[in-house]
Order: sequence, then structure tokens, then C-alpha cells
Amino acid sequence: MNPEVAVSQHPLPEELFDPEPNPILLDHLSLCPVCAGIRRDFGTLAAWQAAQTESSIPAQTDAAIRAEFALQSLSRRRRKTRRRAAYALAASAAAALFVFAILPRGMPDSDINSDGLVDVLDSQRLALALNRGGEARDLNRDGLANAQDLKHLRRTIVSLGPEETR
Amino acid sequence: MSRLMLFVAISTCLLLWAAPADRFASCDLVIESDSPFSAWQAEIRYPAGVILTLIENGEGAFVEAPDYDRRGLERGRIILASYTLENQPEKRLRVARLHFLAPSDANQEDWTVRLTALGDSQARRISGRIHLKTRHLP
Repeated sequence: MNPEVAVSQHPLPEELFDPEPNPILLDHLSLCPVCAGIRRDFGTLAAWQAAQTESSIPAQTDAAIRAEFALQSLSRRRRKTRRRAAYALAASAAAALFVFAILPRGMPDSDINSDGLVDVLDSQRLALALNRGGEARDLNRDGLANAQDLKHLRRTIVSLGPEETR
Repeated sequence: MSRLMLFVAISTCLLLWAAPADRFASCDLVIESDSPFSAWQAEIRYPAGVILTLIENGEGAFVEAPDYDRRGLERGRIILASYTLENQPEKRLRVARLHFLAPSDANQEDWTVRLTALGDSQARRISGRIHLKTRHLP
């Protein structure tokens, strides 16, 4: 090969950095100090970069970092779940309180005539039902519907609150 | 009943000893209606210093003393209620008599009575009026 021709025909970049150069490229590199220098410098740079990548984050450290990240992620998910559960619990408590507040006071079961009031007319109706052998209600929760329930209702109707004062 | 009477007797003795200026009196609870009634409920408010000593039964079919809470004997407010399953044809009846101890300067005007329920023989709500008639002013 004419040395001048070999030097004038610079290889393409992908040919220049080919790890297994062909004989023509080897001839060119032996005659062209510029291409030989570029190939050498880039080779050095590549080797340094590879060394840096390998040595900067050891596998053990990398595994530890990944484990720490997974742990933190799990902790964040748990905190989020706990927060959601707390919100749900608070909402349920508020709903229960609301329902309790709007429910009518007193003993709904004792309103025998279903007029919204628990008074002597309910006890009279219960007494009439018991007298006729009709359906009664288990107002005192003892599992039986009998005269004791009437007694309980009569006592409830006239009962004053424990804290009631003048 | 005997325990109630004992309580009343002891209370009366103690009160007579402690407050000689007070006097006993009684009043009748009378209900009037356009039709016969078989059940009634009333709320009575009375002034401070007054102590109810006995709740007595009424006339006719109301032979038993009305139901009441014993805590109401001294609290200034009491709820009375009674019903009968017997035939009660009257439209005007004394349903209860209240015996009480009151200070000598007590005023009858301070008493209030309210008829909260009145029912016929089938436990249906009817209208009526209630009066408190003092028999002996303190």
C-alpha cells in the first residue's frame, strides 16, 4: 500500500473504534498519528469509564440501597394505608354520631300506638292487649312479653331524669 | 304500700319538727272532657319549698293512686298517670288528690298543671281540661 494513500483515507468512526481492526486500518494507524492518538485516547477513556462504573457502586452497596429504598417504600405504603384507615374510622364515627343524633329519643319500642309519644295511652293499649290475650311486647328485654313489661312501661312513663332539679 | 306509709309518716314527723311554720294542705286534680275518659297523664309544677307528702287515688274507676316517680315529691315537678280497664262513664272526675306541706307564704298561683294525655276506653287520644282545686290553703 502506498503510504500517502493509506494516510489520506481516514477510517470512519465506527471502523476506528473497532476492537478487532482489519489490516487496512492497522496500516493506516501505523502511518496516521492523528487516528492512532484518537483511538488510543478513546480506548483509555472507555477503560477509565468502565472502571469508574464498576468501582463507584459496589454490588453490596447497591443491594443495600435497593433494600433501603424498598423498605422506605413499604413504610410509606403502610403509613398511607394507616392514614386511610384512620380517615375511614373517623368518617364512620361521624356517621354513627349523626345517625344517633337524629334518631328519636326515648324507647322506640315503647311507642305502642306509634304516635311518636310514649305516654299513658301506650301503657293503656298494652294493658288492653294483655287483657285480651293479644300481642304484647318484650319491653324489659327479659325474653317474655307479660305483665312485667307493662309495669316497666308504666314506671318509665312517669320517670324523671336522675339529674333533673328545680 | 306499708313502706310508703311509713315513709310518709316519718317524713311528716320530721318536717313538723323542723318547720313548724309550714302547713299541710291538699288539692284535687279534676279532669273534664266532652266524652268519658279512661286514661290520663298530667305534669304538675309546684314552687320551691313545697313537699308533696301523699298522692291519693281519685273517684269512680280510678280507685288506685296514679303512677308517679318518688323523686318528683320534692323536685318541683311530678308526672302523674293512670288508666282503668273498667267502664268509666263519667266526663268529669277527680282523678287524684295531692297532699302537701307548703311554707305559710306559698302562693297557689305558682302551681301549674298540664294535661299531657287523655284517652278513651280504647286508648284513643281525646281532648279535655284539667284543674287543680286547692282544698285548704296553707
